Amino acid sequence: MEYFIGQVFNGLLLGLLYALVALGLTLILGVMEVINFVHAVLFALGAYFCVTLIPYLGFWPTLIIAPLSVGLVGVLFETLTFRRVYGKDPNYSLLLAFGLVLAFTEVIRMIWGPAGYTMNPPPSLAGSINLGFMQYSKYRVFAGLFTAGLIGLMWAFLEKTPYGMVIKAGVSDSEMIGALGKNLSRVRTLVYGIGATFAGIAGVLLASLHGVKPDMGIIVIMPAFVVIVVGGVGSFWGTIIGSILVGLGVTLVMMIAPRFSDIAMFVLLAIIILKRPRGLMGEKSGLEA
Amino acid sequence: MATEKKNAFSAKISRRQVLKGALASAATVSTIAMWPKILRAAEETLQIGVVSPASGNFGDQGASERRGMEMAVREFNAKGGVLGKKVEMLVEDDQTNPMVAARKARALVQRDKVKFMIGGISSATCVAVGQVADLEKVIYVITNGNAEDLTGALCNRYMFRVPFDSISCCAFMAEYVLKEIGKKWYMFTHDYKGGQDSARMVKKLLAKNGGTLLGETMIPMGTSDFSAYLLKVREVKPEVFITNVYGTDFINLMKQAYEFGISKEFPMASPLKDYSDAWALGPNISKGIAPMEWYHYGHPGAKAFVEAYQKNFPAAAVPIPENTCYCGYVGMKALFLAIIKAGTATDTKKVVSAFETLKFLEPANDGEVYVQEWDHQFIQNYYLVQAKEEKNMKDRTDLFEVLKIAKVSDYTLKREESACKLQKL
Amino acid sequence: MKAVGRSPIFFVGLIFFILPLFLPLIGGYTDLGTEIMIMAIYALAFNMLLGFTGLMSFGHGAYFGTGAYFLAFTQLYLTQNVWIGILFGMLAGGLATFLVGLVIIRKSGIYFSLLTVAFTQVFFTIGMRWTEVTGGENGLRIGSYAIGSLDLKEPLTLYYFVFAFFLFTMVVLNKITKSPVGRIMKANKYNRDRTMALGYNIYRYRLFALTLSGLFSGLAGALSTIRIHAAFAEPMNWFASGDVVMMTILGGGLTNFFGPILGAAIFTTLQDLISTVTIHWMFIFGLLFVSVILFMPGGIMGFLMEEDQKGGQAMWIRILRLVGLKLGRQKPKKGEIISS
Repeated sequence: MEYFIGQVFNGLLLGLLYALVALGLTLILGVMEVINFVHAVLFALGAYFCVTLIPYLGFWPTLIIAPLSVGLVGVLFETLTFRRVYGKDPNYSLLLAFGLVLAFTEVIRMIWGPAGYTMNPPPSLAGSINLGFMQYSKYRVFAGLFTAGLIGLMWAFLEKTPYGMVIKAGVSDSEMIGALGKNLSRVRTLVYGIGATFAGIAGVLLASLHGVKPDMGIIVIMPAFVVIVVGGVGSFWGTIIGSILVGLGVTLVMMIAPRFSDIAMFVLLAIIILKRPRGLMGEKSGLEA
Repeated sequence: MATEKKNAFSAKISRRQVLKGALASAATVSTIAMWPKILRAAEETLQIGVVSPASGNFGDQGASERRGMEMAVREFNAKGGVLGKKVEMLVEDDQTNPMVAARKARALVQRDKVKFMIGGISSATCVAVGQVADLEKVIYVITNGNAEDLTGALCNRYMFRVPFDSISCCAFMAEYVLKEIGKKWYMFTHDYKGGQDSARMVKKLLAKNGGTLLGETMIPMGTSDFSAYLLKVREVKPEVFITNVYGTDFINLMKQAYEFGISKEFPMASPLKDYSDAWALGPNISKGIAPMEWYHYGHPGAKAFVEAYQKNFPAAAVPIPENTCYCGYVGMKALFLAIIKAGTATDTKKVVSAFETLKFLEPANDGEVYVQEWDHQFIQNYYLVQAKEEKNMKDRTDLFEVLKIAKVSDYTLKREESACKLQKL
Repeated sequence: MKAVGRSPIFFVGLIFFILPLFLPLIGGYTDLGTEIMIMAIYALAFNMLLGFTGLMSFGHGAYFGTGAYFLAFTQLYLTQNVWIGILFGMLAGGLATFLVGLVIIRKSGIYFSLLTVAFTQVFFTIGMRWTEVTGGENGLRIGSYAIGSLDLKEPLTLYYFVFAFFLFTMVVLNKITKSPVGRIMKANKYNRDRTMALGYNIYRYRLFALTLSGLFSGLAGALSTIRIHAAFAEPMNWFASGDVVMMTILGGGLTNFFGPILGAAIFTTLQDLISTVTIHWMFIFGLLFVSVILFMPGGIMGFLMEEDQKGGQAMWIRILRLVGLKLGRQKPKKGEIISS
């Protein structure tokens, strides 16, 4: 029983981390109609910045600085490359992103070496914590709560602040942003930056869980896309629900048939696209040709 | 489109033409600049192709074995080289991936025309490179691949294996653990050739010696999240928890085992262990009993080797040579000795014959090293070690206590039992 | 002045026919040339889908891999005859594509691409995990083939063997491009609704394009197994499938039939020769690809074939025309309808 509950927690945590990445993706997709595959590299950079900064700054400052740095890098990508392909066939942005991911994954190898690193949680979070009914990893509890908090903050931002509402409107219809009197270009950059920062945070959190290697982003990006499709593009709650579903699903399949845990997610993706392409809660989006 | 261009650029040189010209010149200049490197001149040196992981699951072990090989190269070059030629290593990263390993091996043979290849941590990559060696009639020395069938069903006349095979290591470990620790085992098996091989051996040995396997979990390579699997161990409560998992995956496994309190609760053992993994984990998290090809505190004679290592690599990530490093060293050294014995660096058939009857003293491993003629397995000393508690360590590198020393021939298959059928030269 | 001369296929064929002679001069070797041709077949096959229907598949590795494995199965369990092996590999690739196609062909755009990813990952996982059949991660090793007294293990022999298939692929695919079927598929790409209005079932044509591309991808896979003496699951990974996408677009598959061949040559050469200088060849290729996407959507071939300011043909094409090479835009014959 304890085993099963532990699994459920692991699945939830995985789902929450997927949500961090997927939320950025879905916002960018909604506002800019760009399939931002580059998230894979941004996520990896978050983890790698961690590797470089933690020895000097310690875990907690790095938790703030690394994602913000990734946000900056994201904004750089956006201004230099993606701006050119807004409005074009989504295939362009996909291909562009694919090429960028390949090139910059190689840059990661050039700077940090091809072998990857293992990272440990900070001493304050190491070891297990007694939850009353079972032992569980202290670090995972922290990561889960922190991520949930961040997602809550994001929700508050989108729902309660004026700027957030503009973005929400933009997700449904990007022209609305101009109509609402805001600078479209600036909003786009902001959204990209937020998405990148979130991806960076996910990378930082995941570094101590699973280790760091150059292609870690590519491994996480596919689940994030599955989440978006399952939940529905542009839908905040759809993404959250989708992430939990995918996180739990993958973990549970790992319990039963570990050899095929990779396929489960893709089977889910195929089924949703074929039977219910808009996902659980989505609307017409840039994904449709 | 054509009309637009006419209006915008009719008087000037088109921007795109300039771009085209620039591309063409850049391509030409860079190609010319790179020619010498691309051609990799080979007349004056003896080139040894190294196929070893620099990335993927076994990147660290790969770096370690290459340091060992480098030591042997420097040692021989200082004395004038091999048969009068300076030795040069052509290093290729196999990415711990058999398909890549085969591709790199093929390129080394066909593009760079090497006659000797060495290296390999993952047994799957060793099999792939071995196939190329067989097809191309090029010698290949396996430095760290342990799967039993590399000197068994998949053996070939051009392939030689330095580390112990999975039979001798499993048997060495099983005999001790069954007697001293417990008979009810639960095993995690790394789902790749090396892991699958050892798993087979373990099950056979348990059956033969009255032990029981309470269960087995297959761990896909590249697994970073073991939480699911570890909770199962606690549920089953074995007397011994066998971790038949290696490389970076093993490191993640041990960290999470510590996180969940599993490594404190259950005695652990492994069919084999690499020092790198223990080094990365540190003494509190590294646990368990396992055989190792070599240990730097294994016997007093190793001291000279350790000092040579530290002189060669003062800034290395690991301050002492590890088992993988030693195997790289002794494999390269044996290759050189075989070439010298055969008197030729181009007639690989002669080198094979010389190799098959090779015998020499290796002070770093306290005794004789020789090659078994019928399956090309290296026979030498090896060690059963146990991870030490921090309070018992002499210094920060003393991560293990040596429980027992044996010769590979004590536990490996006898000639009659071997599945290896070497083809004619 | 009408240019009298040979089709470009003749010239491409000629270049590849004499390639083994000067490959060693540039640091290459015969086997590299064989690999280029195999990748060229793969890319030409891929372009049958992309170039015709505009559908972007990130899952062609599944069909390449299926062809690769089925050739291995044929040799291991059925017969040592290489022709039968290749035939089975090709048919297996085509059949797999057809079956997947039945399910996914009605979707377009990114949904289509994501579906191709999903399916190829399923193939990949089966290839990696079903160790008893596919050898799992270790791959499936095979022995050498011989045709009579010809040993296909010899680099030069293998080169010309593959060359024959390369010519075959170019000729067949090119003919289809120019056939009525080809015209309909092209029309469909440019204006789907109008084509449907004309009464053509576009989905049937799409499925045809997809299956055709899968058939020849399977051929490439089978030839690959012959060359490296093993079949692996790696090429079936969606990320690896991206390689052929990039090759094709880089070379100019979107605008030119021969673009994929150039792309395959560049990719393979960079991967092999540049990796002796720097292992980070992918950085160069990635940047090259990004530049192409941003500045040269027609790919390198498209870029080279561009007209100059005056609307005439590029200078170098005019020069080549003089030696009889029929390239670029020709003046239409009276009454002829040109497909672009």
